[in-house]
Amino acid sequence: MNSSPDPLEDELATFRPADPSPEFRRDVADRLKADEASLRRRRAVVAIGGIAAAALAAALVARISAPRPAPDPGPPPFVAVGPTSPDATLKDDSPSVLVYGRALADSPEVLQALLDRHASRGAAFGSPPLRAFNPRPEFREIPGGL
Amino acid sequence: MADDPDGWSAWLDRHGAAMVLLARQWVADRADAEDVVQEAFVRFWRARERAADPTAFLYACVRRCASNQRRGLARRSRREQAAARPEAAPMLAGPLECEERRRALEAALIHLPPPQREVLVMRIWGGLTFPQIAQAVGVPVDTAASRYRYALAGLRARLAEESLR
Repeated sequence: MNSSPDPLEDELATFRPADPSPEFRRDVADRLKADEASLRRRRAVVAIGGIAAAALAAALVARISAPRPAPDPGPPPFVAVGPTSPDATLKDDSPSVLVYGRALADSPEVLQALLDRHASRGAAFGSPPLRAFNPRPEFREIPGGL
Repeated sequence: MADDPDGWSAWLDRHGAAMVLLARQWVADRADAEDVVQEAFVRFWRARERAADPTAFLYACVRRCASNQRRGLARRSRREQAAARPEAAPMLAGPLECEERRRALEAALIHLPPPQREVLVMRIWGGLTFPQIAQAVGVPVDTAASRYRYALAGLRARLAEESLR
């Protein structure tokens, strides 16, 4: 095709495309500048995002690799009062919640013995005897109970 | 970069008018075509260093932007009507004594099928080689060459028909 020139091709080549408007070049320059500015803004946003992500990652790494503080011990554990021998309970002369609690944890009989003992002491001063459990049979069963 | 006269300005000097002519094969008038070329040129300039053949890439950008602007057959008929109007801005420029021939050529050009028209514009006024045209259009080189031959034949037939009237 190129070896045999076409007269129509030659004729077409004598014409040239119409020139663009005078504003065309200026508009292209403006758009290139605007695009460049937009590109710079995008790069800045990406850079800031990258820095923020890096800072976040560094903070996470620091948090993970830091030595962990000893766990909060919290309130001292409740130490259950272990069973004590009636003799040990009976040796305690001063009536107190602690003493009664220990006696009750041991057995109702131990508590009753302790109360009897304290009551006998009180009786010496004219106080009525104190009983933890009423031995009368009418109080042992509640009428209407299941 | 945008102020570099040896950069974008040289590209615009070399291809600006041909790109507007190519865009006018899709869009209604010269102002729309210039808008298309501005958009295409910005895209081209941003990515030109990644293109294997920058010239082919430039025309591909124009082609893509222009086809995005096209609004179907209604716009095409508007374009044809605009081209048929005597006051429409001419697509080609030439010697004054050839004014009648220029009009006949433009009228014949506008009746070519778009795939042939774009190949003709790229080849004659863009100065692209067939491999470059093939790359810009996205067809095999043989297809680009045959479309060019068909375009010339179509133009010749249309001009002969006009001369008989």
